[in-house]
Amino acid sequence: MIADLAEEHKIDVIILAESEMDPNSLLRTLNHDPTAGFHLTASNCRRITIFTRFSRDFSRPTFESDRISIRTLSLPARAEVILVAVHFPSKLHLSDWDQGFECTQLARRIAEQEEAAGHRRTILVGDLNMNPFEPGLVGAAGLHSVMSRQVAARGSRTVQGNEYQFFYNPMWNHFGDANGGTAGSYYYDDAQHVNYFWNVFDQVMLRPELAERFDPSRLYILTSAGTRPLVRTDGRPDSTNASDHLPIVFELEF
Amino acid sequence: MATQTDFWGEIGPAEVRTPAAILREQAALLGTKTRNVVVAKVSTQVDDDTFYHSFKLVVPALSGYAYELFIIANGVNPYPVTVAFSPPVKVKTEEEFTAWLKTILSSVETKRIISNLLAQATA
Repeated sequence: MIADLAEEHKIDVIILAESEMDPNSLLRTLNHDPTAGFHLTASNCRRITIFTRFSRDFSRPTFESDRISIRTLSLPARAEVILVAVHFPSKLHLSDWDQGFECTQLARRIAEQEEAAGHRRTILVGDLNMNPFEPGLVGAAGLHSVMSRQVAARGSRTVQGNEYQFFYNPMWNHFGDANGGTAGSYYYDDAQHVNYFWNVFDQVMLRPELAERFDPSRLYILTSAGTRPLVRTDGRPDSTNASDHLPIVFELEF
Repeated sequence: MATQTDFWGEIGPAEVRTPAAILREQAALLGTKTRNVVVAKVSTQVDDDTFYHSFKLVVPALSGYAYELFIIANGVNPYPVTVAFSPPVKVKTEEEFTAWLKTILSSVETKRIISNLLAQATA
Protein backbone atom coordinates (compact mmCIF):
# COMPACT_ATOMS: atom_id res chain seq x y z
CA MET A 1 0.00 0.00 0.00
CA ILE A 2 2.84 2.42 0.89
CA ALA A 3 4.58 1.53 -2.35
CA ASP A 4 1.36 2.20 -4.24
CA LEU A 5 1.03 5.61 -2.59
CA ALA A 6 4.67 6.43 -3.34
CA GLU A 7 4.18 5.58 -6.99
CA GLU A 8 0.79 7.24 -7.34
CA HIS A 9 1.89 10.53 -5.77
CA LYS A 10 5.51 10.50 -7.00
CA ILE A 11 6.74 10.74 -3.43
CA ASP A 12 10.38 11.73 -2.86
CA VAL A 13 10.46 11.40 0.94
CA ILE A 14 8.42 8.88 2.95
CA ILE A 15 8.22 9.39 6.72
CA LEU A 16 6.62 6.66 8.81
CA ALA A 17 5.81 7.00 12.50
CA GLU A 18 5.80 3.87 14.63
CA SER A 19 5.84 1.55 11.67
CA GLU A 20 5.87 -2.13 12.60
CA MET A 21 7.05 -3.18 9.16
CA ASP A 22 10.58 -4.42 8.62
CA PRO A 23 12.23 -1.41 6.91
CA ASN A 24 14.43 -3.55 4.66
CA SER A 25 11.46 -5.57 3.50
CA LEU A 26 9.53 -2.36 2.84
CA LEU A 27 12.52 -0.97 0.96
CA ARG A 28 12.47 -3.99 -1.36
CA THR A 29 8.76 -3.45 -1.95
CA LEU A 30 9.27 0.25 -2.65
CA ASN A 31 11.94 -0.67 -5.18
CA HIS A 32 9.96 -3.39 -6.95
CA ASP A 33 10.19 -1.02 -9.88
CA PRO A 34 13.98 -0.70 -10.31
CA THR A 35 13.60 2.92 -11.37
CA ALA A 36 11.99 3.85 -8.04
CA GLY A 37 15.41 4.24 -6.42
CA PHE A 38 14.38 4.52 -2.78
CA HIS A 39 16.97 4.48 0.02
CA LEU A 40 16.52 3.84 3.72
CA THR A 41 18.10 6.72 5.62
CA ALA A 42 20.50 6.19 8.51
CA SER A 43 18.77 6.66 11.85
CA ASN A 44 18.91 5.55 15.46
CA CYS A 45 15.35 6.65 16.17
CA ARG A 46 13.20 3.57 16.72
CA ARG A 47 9.87 5.22 16.10
CA ILE A 48 10.62 7.05 12.85
CA THR A 49 11.53 5.47 9.53
CA ILE A 50 12.49 7.62 6.55
CA PHE A 51 12.94 6.59 2.93
CA THR A 52 14.14 8.96 0.23
CA ARG A 53 14.46 8.76 -3.53
CA PHE A 54 17.80 10.49 -3.32
CA SER A 55 21.06 9.16 -1.94
CA ARG A 56 21.28 8.76 1.80
CA ASP A 57 24.47 10.82 1.58
CA PHE A 58 22.26 13.87 1.09
CA SER A 59 20.39 13.23 4.33
CA ARG A 60 22.47 13.57 7.51
CA PRO A 61 20.91 13.13 10.98
CA THR A 62 22.06 15.75 13.47
CA PHE A 63 19.87 15.10 16.50
CA GLU A 64 17.72 12.14 17.47
CA SER A 65 15.93 10.62 20.39
CA ASP A 66 13.44 7.83 20.83
CA ARG A 67 10.73 9.96 19.21
CA ILE A 68 12.50 12.67 17.24
CA SER A 69 14.74 12.60 14.18
CA ILE A 70 16.23 15.89 12.99
CA ARG A 71 18.34 15.84 9.85
CA THR A 72 19.64 18.10 7.15
CA LEU A 73 18.65 17.52 3.52
CA SER A 74 21.38 18.86 1.26
CA LEU A 75 20.44 18.21 -2.33
CA PRO A 76 22.62 19.32 -5.23
CA ALA A 77 21.81 22.83 -6.46
CA ARG A 78 19.20 23.26 -3.69
CA ALA A 79 19.35 25.23 -0.47
CA GLU A 80 19.80 22.96 2.52
CA VAL A 81 16.70 22.32 4.63
CA ILE A 82 16.25 20.87 8.10
CA LEU A 83 13.72 18.04 8.32
CA VAL A 84 12.23 17.35 11.74
CA ALA A 85 10.29 14.08 12.02
CA VAL A 86 8.36 13.47 15.22
CA HIS A 87 6.16 10.92 16.87
CA PHE A 88 4.88 12.30 20.17
CA PRO A 89 3.38 10.09 22.88
CA SER A 90 -0.31 9.32 22.86
CA LYS A 91 -2.81 11.20 24.97
CA LEU A 92 -3.48 7.87 26.65
CA HIS A 93 -0.05 8.09 28.33
CA LEU A 94 0.58 11.81 28.83
CA SER A 95 -1.32 14.66 30.44
CA ASP A 96 -1.93 17.88 28.53
CA TRP A 97 0.82 19.46 30.64
CA ASP A 98 3.28 16.72 29.70
CA GLN A 99 2.41 17.07 26.02
CA GLY A 100 3.09 20.79 26.28
CA PHE A 101 6.46 20.02 27.88
CA GLU A 102 7.32 17.76 24.93
CA CYS A 103 6.60 20.66 22.56
CA THR A 104 8.78 23.07 24.54
CA GLN A 105 11.67 20.63 24.54
CA LEU A 106 11.27 19.96 20.81
CA ALA A 107 11.19 23.70 20.09
CA ARG A 108 14.50 24.06 21.93
CA ARG A 109 16.08 21.20 20.02
CA ILE A 110 14.95 22.69 16.71
CA ALA A 111 16.35 26.09 17.71
CA GLU A 112 19.68 24.47 18.57
CA GLN A 113 19.85 22.71 15.21
CA GLU A 114 18.88 25.86 13.34
CA GLU A 115 21.58 27.75 15.22
CA ALA A 116 24.13 25.09 14.26
CA ALA A 117 22.99 25.04 10.62
CA GLY A 118 22.97 28.80 10.32
CA HIS A 119 19.49 28.95 8.78
CA ARG A 120 15.85 28.31 9.57
CA ARG A 121 14.66 26.50 6.46
CA THR A 122 12.89 23.94 8.61
CA ILE A 123 10.06 21.49 7.93
CA LEU A 124 8.41 19.61 10.78
CA VAL A 125 6.39 16.49 9.95
CA GLY A 126 4.86 13.98 12.27
CA ASP A 127 2.20 12.40 14.39
CA LEU A 128 2.05 14.94 17.19
CA ASN A 129 -0.90 13.32 18.96
CA MET A 130 -2.18 16.86 19.53
CA ASN A 131 -4.49 19.06 17.51
CA PRO A 132 -3.10 22.27 15.95
CA PHE A 133 -5.05 24.42 18.43
CA GLU A 134 -3.57 22.86 21.58
CA PRO A 135 -1.33 25.03 23.80
CA GLY A 136 1.85 23.04 23.13
CA LEU A 137 1.55 23.71 19.40
CA VAL A 138 0.30 27.28 19.59
CA GLY A 139 2.18 28.59 22.64
CA ALA A 140 5.17 30.83 22.00
CA ALA A 141 7.50 28.65 24.08
CA GLY A 142 6.08 25.55 22.40
CA LEU A 143 6.11 25.07 18.65
CA HIS A 144 4.46 28.45 18.13
CA SER A 145 2.61 27.39 15.00
CA VAL A 146 -0.08 29.57 13.48
CA MET A 147 -2.79 29.09 10.87
CA SER A 148 -1.79 32.03 8.67
CA ARG A 149 1.24 32.43 6.42
CA GLN A 150 0.82 36.17 6.77
CA VAL A 151 1.17 36.00 10.54
CA ALA A 152 4.05 33.50 10.33
CA ALA A 153 5.80 35.83 7.88
CA ARG A 154 6.51 38.14 10.81
CA GLY A 155 9.24 35.62 11.57
CA SER A 156 9.13 35.91 15.32
CA ARG A 157 7.46 37.71 18.17
CA THR A 158 8.56 38.70 21.64
CA VAL A 159 6.68 37.54 24.71
CA GLN A 160 7.77 38.53 28.22
CA GLY A 161 11.13 39.64 26.85
CA ASN A 162 11.87 36.40 24.97
CA GLU A 163 11.85 36.07 21.18
CA TYR A 164 10.08 33.05 19.66
CA GLN A 165 10.21 31.96 15.99
CA PHE A 166 6.97 31.13 14.19
CA PHE A 167 5.96 28.01 12.34
CA TYR A 168 3.17 28.06 9.76
CA ASN A 169 0.77 25.18 10.29
CA PRO A 170 -1.34 24.50 7.18
CA MET A 171 -3.20 21.68 8.94
CA TRP A 172 -5.67 24.21 10.33
CA ASN A 173 -7.23 24.08 6.86
CA HIS A 174 -8.10 20.41 7.28
CA PHE A 175 -10.66 20.49 10.08
CA GLY A 176 -14.20 19.48 9.25
CA ASP A 177 -15.91 18.04 6.23
CA ALA A 178 -16.17 21.10 3.99
CA ASN A 179 -13.41 19.83 1.71
CA GLY A 180 -15.31 16.62 1.08
CA GLY A 181 -12.57 14.07 1.73
CA THR A 182 -12.30 13.49 5.46
CA ALA A 183 -12.89 15.60 8.57
CA GLY A 184 -9.42 14.90 10.02
CA SER A 185 -6.59 12.36 10.04
CA TYR A 186 -7.49 10.45 13.19
CA TYR A 187 -10.84 9.46 14.69
CA TYR A 188 -11.44 8.86 18.38
CA ASP A 189 -14.76 8.30 20.10
CA ASP A 190 -15.29 7.93 23.82
CA ALA A 191 -17.86 8.84 26.45
CA GLN A 192 -16.32 12.11 27.63
CA HIS A 193 -18.20 15.41 27.59
CA VAL A 194 -15.71 17.06 25.22
CA ASN A 195 -15.03 14.89 22.20
CA TYR A 196 -13.89 16.22 18.82
CA PHE A 197 -14.27 12.77 17.20
CA TRP A 198 -12.11 13.84 14.26
CA ASN A 199 -8.62 15.09 15.06
CA VAL A 200 -5.74 16.44 13.01
CA PHE A 201 -2.85 14.84 14.86
CA ASP A 202 -0.74 14.30 11.74
CA GLN A 203 0.80 17.57 10.74
CA VAL A 204 3.25 19.53 8.64
CA MET A 205 4.73 22.81 9.81
CA LEU A 206 7.03 25.17 7.96
CA ARG A 207 9.18 28.08 8.96
CA PRO A 208 8.27 31.29 7.13
CA GLU A 209 11.36 30.91 4.89
CA LEU A 210 9.74 27.81 3.35
CA ALA A 211 6.07 28.70 3.86
CA GLU A 212 6.30 31.44 1.26
CA ARG A 213 7.06 28.77 -1.36
CA PHE A 214 4.37 26.39 -0.16
CA ASP A 215 0.92 26.06 -1.69
CA PRO A 216 -1.56 24.88 0.99
CA SER A 217 -3.84 23.47 -1.72
CA ARG A 218 -1.09 20.93 -2.49
CA LEU A 219 -1.44 19.25 0.90
CA TYR A 220 -3.87 16.35 1.20
CA ILE A 221 -5.09 13.91 3.81
CA LEU A 222 -5.45 10.75 1.77
CA THR A 223 -8.40 8.40 2.02
CA SER A 224 -7.33 5.93 -0.64
CA ALA A 225 -4.25 4.34 -2.13
CA GLY A 226 -5.05 3.90 -5.80
CA THR A 227 -8.29 1.95 -5.84
CA ARG A 228 -7.86 0.69 -2.28
CA PRO A 229 -9.69 2.66 0.40
CA LEU A 230 -7.84 3.67 3.57
CA VAL A 231 -11.15 4.31 5.29
CA ARG A 232 -14.12 2.14 6.20
CA THR A 233 -17.56 2.62 4.71
CA ASP A 234 -18.35 5.10 7.52
CA GLY A 235 -15.34 7.22 6.53
CA ARG A 236 -13.23 6.39 9.58
CA PRO A 237 -9.62 5.18 9.16
CA ASP A 238 -9.47 1.47 8.44
CA SER A 239 -7.05 0.41 11.18
CA THR A 240 -7.52 -3.26 10.32
CA ASN A 241 -6.42 -3.13 6.70
CA ALA A 242 -4.43 0.13 6.65
CA SER A 243 -3.72 2.41 9.64
CA ASP A 244 -5.59 4.20 12.42
CA HIS A 245 -4.07 7.44 11.08
CA LEU A 246 -4.62 8.68 7.54
CA PRO A 247 -1.48 9.64 5.60
CA ILE A 248 -0.74 13.17 4.52
CA VAL A 249 0.98 14.15 1.29
CA PHE A 250 2.38 17.57 0.47
CA GLU A 251 4.58 19.27 -2.09
CA LEU A 252 7.29 21.76 -1.35
CA GLU A 253 9.74 23.53 -3.64
CA PHE A 254 13.04 24.34 -2.01
CA MET B 1 25.73 47.15 73.25
CA ALA B 2 23.77 43.94 72.90
CA THR B 3 25.56 40.86 71.60
CA GLN B 4 24.81 40.04 67.95
CA THR B 5 22.73 36.94 67.54
CA ASP B 6 23.32 34.55 64.60
CA PHE B 7 19.98 33.61 63.19
CA TRP B 8 21.54 31.52 60.39
CA GLY B 9 22.65 28.49 62.34
CA GLU B 10 24.94 25.96 60.66
CA ILE B 11 25.11 26.17 56.85
CA GLY B 12 26.72 23.63 54.52
CA PRO B 13 26.03 21.86 51.26
CA ALA B 14 23.35 19.19 51.37
CA GLU B 15 24.86 15.77 51.82
CA VAL B 16 22.61 14.31 49.18
CA ARG B 17 24.14 14.06 45.69
CA THR B 18 22.07 15.96 43.17
CA PRO B 19 20.66 14.21 40.08
CA ALA B 20 22.80 16.47 37.85
CA ALA B 21 25.97 15.51 39.73
CA ILE B 22 25.17 11.81 39.36
CA LEU B 23 24.44 12.23 35.65
CA ARG B 24 27.73 14.07 35.12
CA GLU B 25 29.67 11.34 36.92
CA GLN B 26 28.21 8.71 34.62
CA ALA B 27 28.62 10.90 31.54
CA ALA B 28 32.34 11.28 32.28
CA LEU B 29 32.77 7.50 32.30
CA LEU B 30 31.47 6.80 28.80
CA GLY B 31 34.25 8.55 26.89
CA THR B 32 36.92 6.33 28.42
CA LYS B 33 34.96 3.22 27.41
CA THR B 34 34.65 4.33 23.79
CA ARG B 35 38.02 6.11 23.35
CA ASN B 36 35.97 9.29 23.06
CA VAL B 37 34.32 8.10 19.86
CA VAL B 38 30.98 8.39 21.68
CA VAL B 39 30.84 10.72 24.67
CA ALA B 40 28.00 11.63 26.99
CA LYS B 41 27.02 15.19 27.81
CA VAL B 42 24.62 16.64 30.33
CA SER B 43 23.03 20.01 29.72
CA THR B 44 20.78 21.82 32.17
CA GLN B 45 18.05 24.37 31.57
CA VAL B 46 16.05 26.20 34.19
CA ASP B 47 12.40 27.16 33.74
CA ASP B 48 10.76 28.93 36.66
CA ASP B 49 11.61 26.68 39.59
CA THR B 50 12.30 23.52 37.60
CA PHE B 51 15.70 22.20 36.48
CA TYR B 52 15.71 20.13 33.29
CA HIS B 53 18.72 17.90 32.66
CA SER B 54 19.22 16.38 29.22
CA PHE B 55 21.50 13.34 28.90
CA LYS B 56 22.89 12.99 25.37
CA LEU B 57 25.25 10.66 23.55
CA VAL B 58 27.42 12.75 21.25
CA VAL B 59 29.60 11.59 18.34
CA PRO B 60 32.25 14.23 17.57
CA ALA B 61 33.28 12.45 14.34
CA LEU B 62 29.72 12.73 12.99
CA SER B 63 29.73 16.53 13.12
CA GLY B 64 28.53 16.45 16.70
CA TYR B 65 25.49 14.21 16.07
CA ALA B 66 23.60 13.85 19.36
CA TYR B 67 21.18 11.19 20.56
CA GLU B 68 19.17 12.27 23.58
CA LEU B 69 18.68 9.29 25.87
CA PHE B 70 16.37 11.02 28.34
CA ILE B 71 15.42 14.24 30.09
CA ILE B 72 14.85 14.47 33.83
CA ALA B 73 13.42 17.30 35.89
CA ASN B 74 13.68 18.29 39.52
CA GLY B 75 12.60 21.29 41.55
CA VAL B 76 14.61 23.36 44.01
CA ASN B 77 14.85 20.20 46.08
CA PRO B 78 16.90 17.61 44.18
CA TYR B 79 14.34 14.87 44.80
CA PRO B 80 11.87 13.72 43.65
CA VAL B 81 13.00 13.51 40.05
CA THR B 82 10.59 13.19 37.14
CA VAL B 83 11.75 11.34 34.05
CA ALA B 84 10.10 12.56 30.86
CA PHE B 85 9.13 9.14 29.60
CA SER B 86 5.75 8.06 28.33
CA PRO B 87 4.23 7.70 30.87
CA PRO B 88 6.43 9.89 33.10
CA VAL B 89 8.40 8.12 35.84
CA LYS B 90 8.84 9.65 39.30
CA VAL B 91 11.75 8.61 41.55
CA LYS B 92 11.70 9.86 45.12
CA THR B 93 15.20 9.41 46.52
CA GLU B 94 18.86 9.34 45.50
CA GLU B 95 18.89 5.58 45.90
CA GLU B 96 15.87 5.15 43.65
CA PHE B 97 17.38 7.51 41.10
CA THR B 98 20.74 5.72 40.94
CA ALA B 99 18.95 2.38 40.61
CA TRP B 100 16.80 3.76 37.76
CA LEU B 101 19.83 5.29 36.04
CA LYS B 102 21.77 2.04 36.23
CA THR B 103 18.86 0.24 34.61
CA ILE B 104 18.72 2.73 31.74
CA LEU B 105 22.46 3.03 31.07
CA SER B 106 23.02 -0.72 31.11
CA SER B 107 19.88 -1.54 29.12
CA VAL B 108 19.91 -3.48 25.89
CA GLU B 109 18.45 -0.45 24.07
CA THR B 110 21.19 1.92 25.27
CA LYS B 111 23.88 -0.58 24.30
CA ARG B 112 22.24 -0.96 20.88
CA ILE B 113 22.36 2.77 20.30
CA ILE B 114 25.97 3.13 21.45
CA SER B 115 27.04 0.16 19.31
CA ASN B 116 25.32 1.72 16.29
CA LEU B 117 26.99 5.07 16.94
CA LEU B 118 30.41 3.44 17.27
CA ALA B 119 29.86 1.64 13.97
CA GLN B 120 28.65 4.79 12.22
CA ALA B 121 31.56 6.85 13.56
CA THR B 122 34.15 4.41 12.29
CA ALA B 123 32.46 3.56 8.98
